[in-house]
Amino acid sequence: MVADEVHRLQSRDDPECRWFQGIAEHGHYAGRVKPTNTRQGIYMATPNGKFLGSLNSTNADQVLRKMQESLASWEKLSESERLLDKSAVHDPSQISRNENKFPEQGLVLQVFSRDLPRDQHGKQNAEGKRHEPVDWRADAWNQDHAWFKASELDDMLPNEWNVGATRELPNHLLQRIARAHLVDNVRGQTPPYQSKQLQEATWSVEIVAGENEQYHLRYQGLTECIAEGRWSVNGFKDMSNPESRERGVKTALLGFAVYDRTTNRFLEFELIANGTRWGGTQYNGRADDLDAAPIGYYFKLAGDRPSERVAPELFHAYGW
Amino acid sequence: MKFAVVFQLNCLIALAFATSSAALGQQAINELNDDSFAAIRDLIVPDDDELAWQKIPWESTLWQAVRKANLEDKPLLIWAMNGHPLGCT
Repeated sequence: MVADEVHRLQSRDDPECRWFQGIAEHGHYAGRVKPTNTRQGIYMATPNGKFLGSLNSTNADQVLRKMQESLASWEKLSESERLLDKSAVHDPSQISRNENKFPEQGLVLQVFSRDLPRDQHGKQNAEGKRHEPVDWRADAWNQDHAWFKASELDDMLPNEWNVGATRELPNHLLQRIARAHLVDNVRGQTPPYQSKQLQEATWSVEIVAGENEQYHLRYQGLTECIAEGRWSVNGFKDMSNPESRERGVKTALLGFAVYDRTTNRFLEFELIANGTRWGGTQYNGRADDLDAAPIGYYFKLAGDRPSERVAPELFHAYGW
Repeated sequence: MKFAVVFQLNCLIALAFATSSAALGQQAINELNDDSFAAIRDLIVPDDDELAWQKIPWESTLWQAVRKANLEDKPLLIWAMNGHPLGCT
C-alpha cells in the first residue's frame, strides 16, 4: 500500500510518473479535463502497470468492494502478465523527487494545524464550541513536515551557551515557517505567502537550563502574513469568478526544545503558533467562513518512519 | 484535510473539550504562555483515533512500492491525492 502526491505523478516524465499515468488513464478520471484534470483517487494495479480497478471515494464499503474485485482480477493473471521485467525496475535514485533533498543531519518537524474553539462570533471561547455547521469541518485538521538543513541550525540557536542567555534570532527561517507552514490548510490545500506578504516575523531564544552540554531552550515570537488580490474561494463553484479578497494569518509563538551540543542535534522540540486566520482560498474550504477566527499550529520532532520523510507540501516556497 | 466523522469520536472530543476547556479558561486559550502551552497543544494534536489510518505501514513513494510489490509478487493499492496523503492534502 502506497500513498503519494498525484499532481507530480500525473504530469512529470520519469519512470515513476509514466508508470502512474499508464494506470490512471484507465481509471475513474481517465481523460478528464474539467472541472480539473486531477487523477486523484485510489487505484489497484499490478507491478508491471496493469490497471485492476480504481475509484475516488472515502466510503470504506465501496473501497473494499473495489479491492475485492481487483484482487479477483489479479488472481487470474499469470506471472508474466503481472510482474515487471527486470530491465524496467529502475533505480529510485534516478527519479527526481523533493524527498531526495531530505535534510539528513538537519531538523525535521511534524506540523499539525487545526481550528481552535470559538464562539458564535468567531472568537475563541472556553467551552469547546466549534464553528457551525457541525460537520467534518468542525474537527478538521491537517499535517505537514517542516525541514531545516544542518547548516541552518545555528540560526535557531543561542550564540552564548550560558543559562539565561538570550538571542534575537535571524528571521529567515521564521519567514519560511510563516510563509510555508503558518498557512490556513486546516480544511484543504492553500498557497504559500510571498515574501512581500510577510508583515512580521520575529523570534528569540533563551537558555532556561543546561547540564552536560544539553541545553533547555525557550522560544517566543510573532508572525503575520497578509495577502491581497483577486481569487476564488469556493472550489469549482466560483473558479471562473475571482473577486477582490484578503487572507491572512497572525500568530504568537512559544516553544521549548532540548539541544545537545555534543551531537549538534535537537533531542526535543515543541513549538506552538496560536493566533488568528481570516479569508480563504480556492480549495481550503473557507467559502462560508471568511471572518477572522482562531487557529493553532503545533510543531514537534518527526520520527523515523518512511511517512515522516515526505517533503513539505509547499516545498517550492523553500527556495532549496 | 484529515477528518473523522465517527459519532463516538465526536462525543469523546466534546467531552475532552468540556473538561480541558473548563480548566483552561478564556484567558489561557487567548494567551499562549508557559501555563497554557500543554492545554493548547492538546487542542491541536490529533488523537489516536484520528491517527488510526497511520497505523497502516504506508510506503511513501510510488516507485519504491512498485519495486517492493514486484519483488513480493503482490498487487498494489495506490492512494494518490493532490497533496501527499501522508503530508498535507
